[in-house]
Amino acid sequence: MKTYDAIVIGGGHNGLTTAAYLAKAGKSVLLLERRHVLGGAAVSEEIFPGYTFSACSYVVSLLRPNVIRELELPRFGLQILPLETTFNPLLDGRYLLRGKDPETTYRSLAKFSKKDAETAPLFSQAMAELSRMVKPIIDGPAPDPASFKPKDLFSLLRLGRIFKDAGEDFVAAQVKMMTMSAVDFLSEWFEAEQLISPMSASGIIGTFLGVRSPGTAYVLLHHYMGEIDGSFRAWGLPKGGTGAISMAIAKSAQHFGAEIRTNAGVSKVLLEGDKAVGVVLENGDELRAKTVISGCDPRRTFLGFVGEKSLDGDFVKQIKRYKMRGSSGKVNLALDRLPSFKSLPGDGPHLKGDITFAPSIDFLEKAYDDAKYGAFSRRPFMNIVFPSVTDPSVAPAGKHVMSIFVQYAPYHLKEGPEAWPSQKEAFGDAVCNMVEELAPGFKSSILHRHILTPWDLEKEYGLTEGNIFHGELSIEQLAFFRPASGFARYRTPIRNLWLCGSGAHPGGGVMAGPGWLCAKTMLEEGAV
Amino acid sequence: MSEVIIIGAGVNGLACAVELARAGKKVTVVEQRAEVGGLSAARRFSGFSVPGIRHDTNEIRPALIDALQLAAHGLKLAGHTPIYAAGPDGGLVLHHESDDAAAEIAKRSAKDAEAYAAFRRFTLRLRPVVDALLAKAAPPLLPNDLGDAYDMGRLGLKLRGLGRDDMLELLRVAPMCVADWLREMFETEILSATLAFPAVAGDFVGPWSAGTSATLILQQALAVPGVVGGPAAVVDALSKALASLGGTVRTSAKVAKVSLTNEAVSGVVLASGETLKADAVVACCAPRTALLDLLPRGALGLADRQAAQNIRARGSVAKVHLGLKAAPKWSGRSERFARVRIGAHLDDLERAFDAVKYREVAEKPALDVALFDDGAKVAVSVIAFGVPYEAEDRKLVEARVLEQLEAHAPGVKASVEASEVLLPRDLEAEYGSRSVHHVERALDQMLFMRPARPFARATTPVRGLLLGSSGCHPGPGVTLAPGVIAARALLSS
Repeated sequence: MKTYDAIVIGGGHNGLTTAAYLAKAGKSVLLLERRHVLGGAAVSEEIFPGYTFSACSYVVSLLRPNVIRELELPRFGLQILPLETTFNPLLDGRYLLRGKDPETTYRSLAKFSKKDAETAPLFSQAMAELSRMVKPIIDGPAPDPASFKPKDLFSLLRLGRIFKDAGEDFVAAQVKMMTMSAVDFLSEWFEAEQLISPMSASGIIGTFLGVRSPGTAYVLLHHYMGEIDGSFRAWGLPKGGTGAISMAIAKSAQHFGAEIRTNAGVSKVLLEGDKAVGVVLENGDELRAKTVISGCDPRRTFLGFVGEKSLDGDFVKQIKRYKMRGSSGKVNLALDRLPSFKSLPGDGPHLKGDITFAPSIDFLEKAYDDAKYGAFSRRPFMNIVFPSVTDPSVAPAGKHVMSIFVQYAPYHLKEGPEAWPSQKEAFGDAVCNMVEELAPGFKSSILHRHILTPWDLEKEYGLTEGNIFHGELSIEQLAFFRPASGFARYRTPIRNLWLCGSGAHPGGGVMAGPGWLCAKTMLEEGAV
Repeated sequence: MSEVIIIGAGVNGLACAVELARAGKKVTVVEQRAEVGGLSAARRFSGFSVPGIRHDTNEIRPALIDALQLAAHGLKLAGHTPIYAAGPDGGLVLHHESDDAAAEIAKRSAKDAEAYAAFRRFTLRLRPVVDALLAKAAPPLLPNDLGDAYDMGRLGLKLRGLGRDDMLELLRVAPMCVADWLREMFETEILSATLAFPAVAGDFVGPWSAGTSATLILQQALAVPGVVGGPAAVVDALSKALASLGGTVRTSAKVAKVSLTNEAVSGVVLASGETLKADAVVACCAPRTALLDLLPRGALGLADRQAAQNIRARGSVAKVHLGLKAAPKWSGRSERFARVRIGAHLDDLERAFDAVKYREVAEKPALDVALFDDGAKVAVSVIAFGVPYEAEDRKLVEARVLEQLEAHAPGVKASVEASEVLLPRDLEAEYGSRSVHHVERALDQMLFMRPARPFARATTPVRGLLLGSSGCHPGPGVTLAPGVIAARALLSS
């Protein structure tokens, strides 16, 4: 039987990235995906005939530019179509429209506050500079503050140098960013709630926090860090859906010689002593490799594939307390026609971009309060895109697909997570009713409805507790704590078992950072 | 001999004055109220007396009691007072020291009794770091000179001196929310909720807000037995010490402006119009007041002024004072307690904060209650968490507080003889700050960011103006530290 240099568990974008980098370095690599389709949560699926959905993750911006370059993704079909506007309908019939054209943005903002309209470009500039400062941290393995090894001390010093060069103002801004709530942080810049509210919403995406919760300003930055072609804060839609990214990485991996199998679910990691030597598939087949790399989340990897018994008690404790708790859901719709918003009727550039429905801070906080006490938001926060407007290939001519990201949908309902199947339709109704309130007549345009609750995200896509980031992006779960202290550099307590998913530094989003850094670390350390 | 004016005769203003007077400075403390003590002054109403706005002294720094020689003026440490957490099944009596606490906690969970001991041991091991951090002005953000580098290096070594496990644990838990951290440790909800109370009350946070664990760690690592006589005894000892050193205190003297000459402080102008000359002014009032109201416009540059405006100090607690005919009888308990907390579930605290978020009075405010029982009548000082700045209805707040008390001590309502309610707006009008902490405790308003970066090391960009209130490092509570740190910063400049 063939012994591979590496077996990668999970064909999400990070697993594929690791596989591609290792294959590119000349290693023999086998990637195993449980589902029939590649991509994990970065997947395109024809859920209804003729309608292709980015079922889970739906926009891209965090994808590391060096990964695009080094894996030659454009050559393998990656094409990112920019989202040009951000439209925020309000409940009072007004709206905010921000776009690439500074004049439009200025005029729209000035309706609410002239001062804010003038501050907005300065704010973007400041955020871009902050992002640049964080970039070296994102683009390298996590530092280790407790280590006395010369190499680690050196990297701490280097980090210190970056801070020192940036100056006190930036370090202070960085501390604020890491610790403040999105609302408090933005309130230092802006006065109009109509602007603060939708902006703060970027701070809660994928987290179990409210916009007033300390720590959410960081998630704001995490979303600002996105870059396409080097320009910060540029979001886009991959042509063919988010799955097109995964497919491009997969083609690149195959081009470099990686072997990929779908419908090949792994049931456990094969151990000999304290060493991983391969995997056992769900059908019982054993496959052997010198190294095993998991792209699945830490909980599934360690408590599922490895098993508590083979791990040290303290490590198990860390993995068990690692917070997953999903907070979001997704509603994917096939539409007969585009909706007409009450605040800005008819067709227009506002339908080509990102639509964030976050009308007030209290609105968002009330949505969060529902979740805090174990229910889905009765009036949810929504982030909407119509991919078919930008990329007509995803729907039949004249028809449309609509992607609605919804918060909050807590995995842990007060009736227990297993109550989700019985609440799924009610959840979908709450979302559609909310849209109907903004765009009367919308409901009659729905041809098909596909709902993903955190329960579905766990069962179908393997995201434990439905957490889209493989673990919350809270400070105590970042950098050298992600996913456990002492194991933040892709190594695990099991020899030859590595972790390359979003549960590793630098975290979630369609970034491919963990996948790339894991492969890089393995190659540098001669582990494969 | 140079003259220093200190604005505010709260414990920090007095401590600052004593430290300066000991170094031979001529000091005058000006206080807008008719009596000294600020938030720590005893408060009398309808024949009853309560400690004032603060009823705790267990964060006082013993090293500063020594440095200011307060023992010579009668200040004595007391023992810890156990806290009764009212709740179902007779609630829980929480003793500070784990040996005493173990038996009570073990009645509910043996595992938690051990976890509590481990939690106390952990916070005690942190004490040297916390002490080092609190004894001096906050370390700078980046070292400006060799002295800074040395200080930071020492602190870094202290931190590493904790050992790898404790250091990583400190870094991990400090930014967390108390709810997550406490639930990792304990399965007894009432224990978690009782411990969480002081980490959230008074700030614009609930137990699910990140960073509240840092507040809890500070509070736990600082905790010492309080002093005999409570906050008023501290005020009394400080006043006596100051008098013996020849310092002056002027009450009913509200400062209207800090005056500047050639961009440096030259004194203050009182509301009466009287001018007082000084070479330096230490503002031991709320930092926002000092920076935004007392300084002439233009004294601060645009960025510094903006930083001052961004200091967050929203109120979230009201004070309710009650005079009772008899001691309350707690359901399921026969003992009398001097300290009681009401809010047995973390969700109770969170819901109290929810209301504040929406600018409403909480239906069930969470309470921290101090009772003063002279054998006959009982004076009660209640800190009620869940009352926003916008609240205007004193009757409503009183009714909701009484309902909470009545639920755990039936008959209390009928026993009320006198009462007084201080809403956040009342606190602002009378004591000069709607927040009892002067500046909210939050990770971005701590250490070198407290109250805001340009004013973080007791000094300000205005020559001769220093800050020394609870709104400065190391923070609120009757610690005496901010006042002394400001005095030392002035002396070394």
